[in-house]
Amino acid sequence: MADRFDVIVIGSGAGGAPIAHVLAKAGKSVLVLEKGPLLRPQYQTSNGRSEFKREELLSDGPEKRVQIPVANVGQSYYSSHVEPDLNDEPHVYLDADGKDKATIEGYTAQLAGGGTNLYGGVSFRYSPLDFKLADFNAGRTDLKADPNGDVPRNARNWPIAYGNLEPYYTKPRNWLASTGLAPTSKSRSPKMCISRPSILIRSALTPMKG
Amino acid sequence: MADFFFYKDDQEILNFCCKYLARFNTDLRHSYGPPGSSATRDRFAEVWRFPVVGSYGGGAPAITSPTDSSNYNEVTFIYAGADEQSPVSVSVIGTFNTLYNPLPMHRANFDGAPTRYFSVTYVVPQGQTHRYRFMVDDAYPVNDPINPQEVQLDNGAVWSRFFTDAFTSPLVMESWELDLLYRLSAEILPFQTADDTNFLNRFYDFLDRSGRDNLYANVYRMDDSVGEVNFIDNILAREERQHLADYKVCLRIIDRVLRQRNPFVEPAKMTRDIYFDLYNDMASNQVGGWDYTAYSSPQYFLYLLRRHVVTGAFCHPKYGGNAGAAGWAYLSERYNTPSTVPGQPPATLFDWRRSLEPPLGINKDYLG
Repeated sequence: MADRFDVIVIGSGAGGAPIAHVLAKAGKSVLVLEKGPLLRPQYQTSNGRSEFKREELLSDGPEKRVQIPVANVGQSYYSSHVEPDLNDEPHVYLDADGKDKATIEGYTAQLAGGGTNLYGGVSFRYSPLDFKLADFNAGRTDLKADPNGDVPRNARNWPIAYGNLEPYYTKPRNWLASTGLAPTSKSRSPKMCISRPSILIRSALTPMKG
Repeated sequence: MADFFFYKDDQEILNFCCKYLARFNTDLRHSYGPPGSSATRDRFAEVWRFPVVGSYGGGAPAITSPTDSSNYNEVTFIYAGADEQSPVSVSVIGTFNTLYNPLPMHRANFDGAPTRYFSVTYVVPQGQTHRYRFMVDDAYPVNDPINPQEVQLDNGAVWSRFFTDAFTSPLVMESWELDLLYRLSAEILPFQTADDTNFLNRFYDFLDRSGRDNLYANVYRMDDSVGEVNFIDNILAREERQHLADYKVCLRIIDRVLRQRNPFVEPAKMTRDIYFDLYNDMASNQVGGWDYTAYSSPQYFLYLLRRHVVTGAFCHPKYGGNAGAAGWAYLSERYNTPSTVPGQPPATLFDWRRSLEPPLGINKDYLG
């Protein structure tokens, strides 16, 4: 096994896999590091059973307890079989009370392919308007549920426009063999992109084999 | 007997290992027990997953009929050696096989290079428990350093233990504890009204008539429950063994409290009113006669018990509760919407069979 690479990508999910794919296609030697297992679907295993097991105990696993030195030590938490264990990976946040606490919230899947294993296959594009929310909301008085004017005060314009991102919406759409409407300049609604998640996992692994 | 084992491909074995055994924690991050323990297993997450008990889909030459698959589990033994060279050989002995016949384990490779993980997979019928040990470099057999389940034999020897899916004999609870648990759980679940009891009776009658004996062989203790007590016994033996002490202490206290409230009747035979009063007291954390020095929060035990009872009633039947999927069938009948076609029965809002693989369900898109 080679021990020198042009690029090392940490994580094989929706972020890492496309980057590794592009770099490998460009002729770079790429190592993708993934801490989770490569769970294969039933049509790829020798016994015809999916390696992605449902945690039918409930949607998550049995009770565990935080054992690391944080403010919520001893607290119960429940993690599924594709999530990391908090006592291995603390995942600490600063709570409103100023104390460090560990949480399982925010994890998706620790697997080859990352969260795409749990991906519903629906991806929304931002609309052109989403990049100009400050302009759009400036001076508005018709926001009924916003008595303190939070929306106009906090809305921001992005430093880039929809057109800057459009090529990067189109590329993965083609990789994933997804369907959806082509964006039009008149439309203000987000475009939906429906795809098959397993394709992304496969594209993540292709550079490794190549 | 030899035909009941096989070797999984290296990828699948390493899948089992990478999240758990491949970590090198030097401290005891996963010890839920008393402080001061230094067991190897306290360094690893979710050690109860070993040996890995999974669904059987084929691979053992002795079992040729595909219809038999659902009655078996694959039990994959994994031993993590010191490094890629040592030990040289590992085998497993156990009551699932002839006890004097060591079953050799194979070292898994990754990308052509050896790893420190040995494994073998044995196909074991569901509803069984067995003891086993590892023989490392042909030395005297030792217990599994990872799996926390152990059983003491009549001669005092302690062996590693596992049990397969839908196991229905008590593992960690005594009979008086189980009797009390039946009553405690029965008052939590919704199956106590006349209509709901009638539902369960009809459900199990239907199962008998359908003649699917193999599928529902594990339906038992069905007088007034769906197996949730059995589930609690199973989970306290494996996934949540940290709570066994809660049950042992609190059931003893509850037994004493109930006897104080009615000295003339066995607790398991007391009226529903006494249990309702007890629950109300526990919910407010003010239980007359409770030994607060032994267990400080009856409120917490009530929370724990409710979580286990509800999970046991509606989990997958392989965990020992929801026997014959009666809990799901209850929900399926309870929650429905009127049919749009005159004369047709109402359509259920909880069509669980569509999302579950055979033999319990009808979904063929997923086999897990």
